[in-house]
Amino acid sequence: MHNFWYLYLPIAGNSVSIILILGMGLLVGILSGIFGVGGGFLMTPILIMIGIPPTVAAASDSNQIVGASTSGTIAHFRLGNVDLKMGILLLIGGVAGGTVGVQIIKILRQLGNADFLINITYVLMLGLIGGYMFQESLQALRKSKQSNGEPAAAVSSEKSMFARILQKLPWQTDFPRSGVRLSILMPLVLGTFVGILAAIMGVGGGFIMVPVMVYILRMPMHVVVGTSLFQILFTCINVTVMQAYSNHTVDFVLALLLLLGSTVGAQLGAKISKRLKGDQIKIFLSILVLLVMVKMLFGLLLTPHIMVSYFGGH
Amino acid sequence: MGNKHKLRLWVLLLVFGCLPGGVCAAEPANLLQVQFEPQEINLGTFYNGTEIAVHGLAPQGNDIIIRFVGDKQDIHLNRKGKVLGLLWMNIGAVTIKNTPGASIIYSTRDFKTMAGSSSPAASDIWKLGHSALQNEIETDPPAKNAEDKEFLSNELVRLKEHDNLFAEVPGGVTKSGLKDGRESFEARIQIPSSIRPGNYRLEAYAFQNGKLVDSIRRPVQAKMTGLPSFMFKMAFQQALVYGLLSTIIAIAGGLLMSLIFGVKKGAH
Repeated sequence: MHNFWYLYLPIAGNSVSIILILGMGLLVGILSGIFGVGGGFLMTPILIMIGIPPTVAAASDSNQIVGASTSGTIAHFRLGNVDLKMGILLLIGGVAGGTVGVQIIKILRQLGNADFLINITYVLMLGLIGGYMFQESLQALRKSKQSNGEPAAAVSSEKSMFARILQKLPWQTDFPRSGVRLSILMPLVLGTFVGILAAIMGVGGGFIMVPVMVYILRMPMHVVVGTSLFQILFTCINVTVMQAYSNHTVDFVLALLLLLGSTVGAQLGAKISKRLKGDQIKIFLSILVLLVMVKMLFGLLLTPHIMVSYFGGH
Repeated sequence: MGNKHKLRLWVLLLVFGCLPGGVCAAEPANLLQVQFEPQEINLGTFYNGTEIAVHGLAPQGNDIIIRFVGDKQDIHLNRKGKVLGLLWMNIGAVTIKNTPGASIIYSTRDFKTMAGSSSPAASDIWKLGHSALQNEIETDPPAKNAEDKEFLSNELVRLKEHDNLFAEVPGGVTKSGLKDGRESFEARIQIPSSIRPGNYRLEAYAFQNGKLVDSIRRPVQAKMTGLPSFMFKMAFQQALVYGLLSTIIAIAGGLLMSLIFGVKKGAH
């Protein structure tokens, strides 16, 4: 049966509906352009659901994110939303953290409780980040309605507490694009922290990096989105080449179909993002993160339909 | 013809009769005859599963089983279990050896009815169904006991059924009248899109009251062709170039889309 609406994926070893994959790419691209996340935490489970082996789903999605984040980064760069200096420092930290994280996972696997820790870390991180971001942005949105345009009052008192600790750190430097002055140690250390978590959880880490930039580095939301995409671009280039070289898990046919949708989606997302307020972006992202957390929690609590699953695909 | 020549002729008949494309002449009177199309599965650019049309002749009143089975392989699985009495997650890995890559079984009736009153040990019919898989597989680490092995075997079947690589279709073989004193039958075997390249067999069995009357086995090869074959070879033989090209094309795609949207923006 040859059906021109379907394409056979040689590495995944299955066929997919062209329309479905283009649509999925478009949707995740839009989310990526709005929120500055890679969208792997949404895309990978959907790909697994439609019959793509887990390792191929994750690696091919990384390949796709390279296209979407190139598109998104340029769109946001045109809008002045990319802090290159901050992005590069976070990236250096992220690469170092990723390397450490991979080693930690190896040790945990040897100890035999890796899956338990990965699942717990995943649910806790999603719950904490989603919950905090939802509550904070809801309060900010309410205050901005009440006080009609002076939303920064509560945030600035909190900021002064943080600022006192941060100002004591050495190598203070200006980040003009983000409008903040910080020690270069901050993005390096935080980048490392996110890199470790992302490697343990097996995700790109965009949804952890975005809140870290907003709440700890105190960067404006629109610059956070652009800078996060810039960083994701380089992380995913590294992941794609490494996965293709070491594990042969990149299905380029799948990635190409996905990125045809997602590169368009990322441009649309950047346009939508421009029209939204920072707090609106934050509250939508927090809802998304909480939904993924609830889905994961259900997966852990409900009795599985089948008591075995493929070990890493194939 | 001398005895030596007669013997040579018999050996030739036996050897060539069982080769691909020929009905196995080892069976005394060719009670069962089978033809099918296609005899090769091409996994090309637009492959989305296929159908093997089987038709043949068998002695009147026989039950027919047609199996599409893949070479035996090892399969690595995660076992799921409860942690802290509350959370379901992977609790260990297990390798199941001697698992067929695919096992799609079509039959005139369900196994229980075909076997009649004969016990699983007495009838060969039971050896052809998925319930017999527990006797063929080996697990590493070894299963705790017979129940554990049966449990693993059943869960493996359910997992493969989910991918459409395993299936039992009672009633999938239909009879369609008499021809030359034998009953003709046919089946349309659905081959899923998730089939892996490799060696498979199409097997046909005729049973009379649970006893094997005749059987035929023919090879079927599934292979990648065209673009999928090129991409697969490149991904494995030129892994670094493949990875770099995948990345470069993705970046180019992103740049192109930025350019298109940038131009649009400028035009407004």
